[in-house]
Parts: sequence; structure tokens; C-alpha cells
Amino acid sequence: MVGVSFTSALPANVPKYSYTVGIPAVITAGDSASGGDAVLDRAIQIYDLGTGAEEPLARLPTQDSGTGGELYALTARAGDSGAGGEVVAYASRAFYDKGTGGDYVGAKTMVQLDAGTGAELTAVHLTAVLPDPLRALSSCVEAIDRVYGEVGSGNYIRPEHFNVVHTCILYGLSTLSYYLERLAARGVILGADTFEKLSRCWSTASEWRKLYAGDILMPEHRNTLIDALKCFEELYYMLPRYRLMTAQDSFGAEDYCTIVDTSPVADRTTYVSTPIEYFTNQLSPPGGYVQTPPPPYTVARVDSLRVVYYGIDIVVYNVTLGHRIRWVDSYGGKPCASAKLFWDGWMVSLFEDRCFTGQADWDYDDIGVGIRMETLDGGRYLHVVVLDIEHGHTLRGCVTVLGVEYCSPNLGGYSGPMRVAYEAWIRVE
Amino acid sequence: MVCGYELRYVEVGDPVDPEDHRKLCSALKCVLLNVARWGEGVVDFLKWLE
Repeated sequence: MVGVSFTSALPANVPKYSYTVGIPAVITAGDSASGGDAVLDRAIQIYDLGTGAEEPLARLPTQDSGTGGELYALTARAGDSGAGGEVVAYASRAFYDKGTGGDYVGAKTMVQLDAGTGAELTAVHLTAVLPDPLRALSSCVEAIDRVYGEVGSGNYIRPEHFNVVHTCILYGLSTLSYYLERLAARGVILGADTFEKLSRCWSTASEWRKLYAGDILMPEHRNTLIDALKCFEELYYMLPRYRLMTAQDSFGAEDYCTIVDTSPVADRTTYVSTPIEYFTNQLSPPGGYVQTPPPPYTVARVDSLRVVYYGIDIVVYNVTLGHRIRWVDSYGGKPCASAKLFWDGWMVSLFEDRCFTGQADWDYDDIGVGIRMETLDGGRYLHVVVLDIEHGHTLRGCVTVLGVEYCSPNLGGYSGPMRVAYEAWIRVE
Repeated sequence: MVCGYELRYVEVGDPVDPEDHRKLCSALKCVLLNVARWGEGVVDFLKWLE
């Protein structure tokens, strides 16, 4: 059993609770085919942050008594907040009978005891304990950023630098479990392979042991983290995708640029109806950017732009003509699943289509859009430039296009190269 | 390869390379952000179901 606690290394707004591998609860589970009861044969331990108590509170069913089939259980965690003995984590539970291939069998009963007070808690408490897991996840990202900064060239890697990585992997898995559970609770059918994978990821992550000052760093410390992270990413790719249809979705995501007037209906009277124009992606060659003269496209004034870049929709609203260069950035990772970004008064929505397939870019997974006005040949053009930044590099960077420097904001990350991936010229009348 | 980052397994005797750990951090951050965005989609989806 492994208990990993958040430490002061994480920001204060990260909820502090202990992890357990297993479900600290009395659970009955049955096989949907045989109706057999589950056999409880795995001890669970819960670490109480408030009291320091370490005691097994329950046992986890792993085998079906009717069939002998192995039950795949989602691991979960819970902890005592230390203040008032409130449990601050939820517990996931889902079981799948490997022996019979039976359907997903949920936990029938869950009773949880508070390690500090001994009070009996119900599942109702558990579902309300992570009010904003996304924010908490962001805090974990901040902690990773801090570690990244500290592990510079010539600096020592401390045990805590590994512990943060491990804790955040667990935290990510917890967040993912949370949403899967929410989906399952709403009757969304999730594949058994997803739960199996989740269980496997927890298992891999649980093989890790927290490092303390003075511990000798062994290869398995790093290698286990790599295995856990790989499993985590593989699990992520198995997840069902949910995307609400929006007005932009009515246009198929293709490898072309589409200009869409998404202004509110009430405002459209002030604008000329915007036709849809198609531009061919003009990708910069590996050797660098090739200057391209503005094509003679004529487009009415627009107040929103939609650029489809390798299947990623980039929608820019409130295109104010004649302003200086604007920049938006996906900040880390391949932009997926309706990420909404705000920068300098601009809102940009990134909608994914194929970014999960690895085709989104050339291994450069931060993208940005620069927009500016240009007067050429007596006409005014809106120049849209999509820049691709080397992954993980989010420090201010600049690239010059036709003598104009496009720069990203300093997002407090790391510097790195970037290049023009796409550009479009839109003549404005 | 995780999120485009090549993560190198180490063996006994290999030096501790800070750059390796940085890649690990970057890859983890990437996955976490992806999961966060996925979670946002789930939240929207669940709201839509209600």
C-alpha cells in the first residue's frame, strides 16, 4: 500500500489529502451474470493527514465469489482533511468481472469512515469533495513548472522533484477517474478496456515509492514514472470525446481556411454578409518561411475568423481591423476539445478534430495566431499567421514575416524556436 | 514518446540528467492539460445532459 501526500511543494490551493491505493470503504459488488458476491481479499490503507493514523479501513473486492472471476476495480483514494475530519476526496468504484465478461458492476454500497473522527461518511459526501478538480489540476501544472525551473542545468535534482511528478500523475489519474465516474453515474456506457487501463495505470503508479532526503535515486524511480506517464497518456487516448456542437461545428474541419461570420445576429446588420473563402494551407518548408504575396481575395469586413490548421479550428472573435498584432496561444499540449483562450482582449477557441491522432503539427504542439492589418498595393489586408512553437516552449518568442515581427507573449515558460505554419491574407474592403 | 517528448529509460550507472527530468515534467504537463481539456468537455457534456 502506498500513501502519497501532497506537500507544501504544491500551491496552497491544491487540496491536501492523502492518496490510498484502493477504496477505503465497505463495498459489496456482484457479478452481473452470476450475482455472486465479491470476495474481499485486498487490504486497503488510508493515511490520515490530520492524525497521522495509518490503518486499514476496508478491503477491496477483487474476486467474484460466484465465478471466481477476477474483478477489475478502479482504485480510488480518500483522505482526512485534518480539520473537522472531513473527507476531501471522492472515491471511484467500478468493477468488471474478467471471468465472465460480465457487464460493468458498480459498487452497491459505500460507507466510508473518517480516520480522524471515526464518523461514518456516505457517498454523498464523497461526490462533493472535489468541487473544482480542473483548477486543482492547474495547480499541479504550476508545481511542475516550478520543478522544471528548478531542475536547470547544473542544478541538483532533489527527491521532491520526483515526488511532485509522481503526485501529479496520481492527481491526474484521480481527476480522470472523477470524470469517468461522473459519466458512468449518468448512464454513459464506458468500455471495460478503459477501466482496465485505468486500473493498470493506478497499479503502475502505485509501484513508485516516495523519495525522502538522503534516499539513493535508483533507475526504477525514474523508469516507473515514465511507465506510469505512458500509461496515463495511453489511457487519455482511449477516452471518449465529448464536444458540444456549436455554430462553428456546422462547417466541416478540413485543411483549409474558412472565414466565418459568427457575429451575433443582432449585430449583423452593421456588417456586410461574409462569404466563405477557401485558402490553401501555405505551410512553410522545412528550410524556412517563403514569402507569399497576398492573394487577391476580397472579403467583407469580418468580426470573427476561423482558421483551420491541420484539423484544429482557431476561431478569433472581435477582429478589430487596423490594430496591432495580436497573439493567442494554446499554451502547452495539442489544443484539443474546445479550449477557450483569452489574451489581450481576444478570445480564441480551439476545437480539436484530429489533434489526438498526432497529425496536429510537426511535433511542435504550441500554436499561436498573429493578426495584423497590412496595406499593400492600395488595399488593406488582414494578415493571419499561425505560428508553431516547439513544444514546451512558452517564453516570448518572435518570428519575422514580411518584415513584421510577430511575437508571442511571455507565458512564463521556456524559450524555443517557432515557425510560420500557416498564413492567410484577407483583403478587407 | 509521451506528448512528443522522448523519455529515456535509465539504467544503473547512468548519470542523472536534469534535461531528462525536464522532459518528464513537460510531458506530464502536456498530458495533464490534455486531460483537463477533456474534463472540460465532459463537464459541458454532462451539463448538456441535464
